[in-house]
Amino acid sequence: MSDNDLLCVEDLRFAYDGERTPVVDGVSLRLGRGEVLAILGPNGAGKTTLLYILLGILKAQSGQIWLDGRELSACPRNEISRVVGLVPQSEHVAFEYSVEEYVLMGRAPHLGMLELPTQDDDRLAVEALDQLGLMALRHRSMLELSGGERQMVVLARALAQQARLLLMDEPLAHLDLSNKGRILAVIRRLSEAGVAVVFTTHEPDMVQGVAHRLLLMREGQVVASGRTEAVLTSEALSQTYGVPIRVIDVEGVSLVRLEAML
Amino acid sequence: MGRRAGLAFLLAGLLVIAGISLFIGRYPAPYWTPPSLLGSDELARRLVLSLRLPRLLTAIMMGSSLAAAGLIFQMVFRNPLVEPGLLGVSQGAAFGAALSILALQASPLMTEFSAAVFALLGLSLSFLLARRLRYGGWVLRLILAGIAVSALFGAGVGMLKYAADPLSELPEITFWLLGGLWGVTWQEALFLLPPVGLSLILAWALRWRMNLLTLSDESAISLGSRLGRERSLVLIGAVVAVAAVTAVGGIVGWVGLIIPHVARRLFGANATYALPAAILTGGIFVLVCDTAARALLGGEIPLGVLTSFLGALGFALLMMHTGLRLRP
Repeated sequence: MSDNDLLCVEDLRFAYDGERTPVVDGVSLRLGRGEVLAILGPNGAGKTTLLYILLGILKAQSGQIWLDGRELSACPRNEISRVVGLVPQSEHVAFEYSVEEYVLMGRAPHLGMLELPTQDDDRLAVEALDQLGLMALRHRSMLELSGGERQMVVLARALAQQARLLLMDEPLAHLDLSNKGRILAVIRRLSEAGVAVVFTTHEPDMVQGVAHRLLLMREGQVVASGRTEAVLTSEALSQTYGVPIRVIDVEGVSLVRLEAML
Repeated sequence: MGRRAGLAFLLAGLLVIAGISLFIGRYPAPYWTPPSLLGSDELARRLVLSLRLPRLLTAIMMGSSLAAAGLIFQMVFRNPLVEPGLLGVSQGAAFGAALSILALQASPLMTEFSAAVFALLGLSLSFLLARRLRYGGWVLRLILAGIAVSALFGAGVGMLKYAADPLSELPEITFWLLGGLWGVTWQEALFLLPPVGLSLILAWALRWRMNLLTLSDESAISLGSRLGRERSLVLIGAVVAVAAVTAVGGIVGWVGLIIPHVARRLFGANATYALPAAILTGGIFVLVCDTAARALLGGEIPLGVLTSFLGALGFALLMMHTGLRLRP
């Protein structure tokens, strides 16, 4: 691995307890600082499982993960959490936390078990809200937010975490076009600020211009992996999804369409 | 009012109510024992210092433990409808007490000991069973196991009541099940101090951190929580105190369910404030109920009856008003 790699993954294999077929099967990837990787694949391809392995929530049966030059399995939980943040696909909120208090929880990896957040932590939480244009929600209850607002607040929580690698599980799902645009713009800004992002999505049309790299998965295995322009092809997508798909080039923009719709 | 001021207000309220409660009673006449009597009347002095004071402290410890444990349970199970007796603790204690009354014709102390042992047994069985269940996630498994273990001990209590002498033992069992602090002396108060003290200190120390437990598993872990360990730590810490106060005071319902709601309603969900608020509110609530229980009528009113009655009334009133939130 090169020194520039923030994340380096070799030949991961993972199967759930008692299951024979692996959910992640021989996945390798590397990611530098500020790089954005999009993962595409049909439902059940193992995308979310892969994210949870990268986060250390699930332990791969074989393969290796280096995070910032250290083996992931050797890192204490708190240290992983200072480097890697997660924006889960949907987050159930059980109690009436205010948006600000909720975002403040993102500071937990930087605090000891018995510590309370300091004024600096408060400031970082507010900055994260400000960065996403969410200051108007600051004192609102988490239970009153719409789905899109809640997704943005969970993202703010991850920003307050100051992670250098952000894992986002289907950040575009259930969002209208304007919210999708905001999320993609945030990913771009993070990348420019040196934060690496891995996100999964079901929308091949949304990755160009945001993701530097693309990983196509099917049944736990890598179908294609590399620079987005090189991977976003009719052949690779058709093979990934098992239906005929055509990538149409319109003035340098790749439009992804199902053959059946053309 | 800000939240810090709110907590200070509650603390002051608890101290004032405790001070007043010491002199409420039926000696020398209902309902007031003049403080000046303490200097001149030996009986009044012993009444206040040897009976009312330990009982008052026990009531506060009971309310604080139940309310804190209720808040912790609701957070860990991410469900505002669970209460701290859930994991076999209440029914275990009930079975232990009934068994001791029936089989050992035991002294009150023996009954308390037996209740404590079976409360912890119920808790352990719930944890052990949850580990063997092959259904659902950790939270669901623990709830299911708690329900099963509670039902088991509940059936046991039913059998013991059926077998009990209806003239002597049955009333004693029933009265114990309704909850009350009538026999409490310094012995009980001092017995409760270590488990309740440790439990509350632990919860206090973790009061911000435990907010993470309300998030999804993935989120909590991604924020650095060693979830299994931290959950077990706060749960067991909370439940040991509940087992202890239940052993002494019987099953006092509603406190662990309702007081956390009141605390969250006034102070918000953040346990940095909701936990101390629950501890103070719970202490005040049980103290007020117990004072009424011993002073209102010639005989004791079962404490559990009063907490349910007043708790339900207060709760309905509180929930009918919006905008009762203190400023952050």
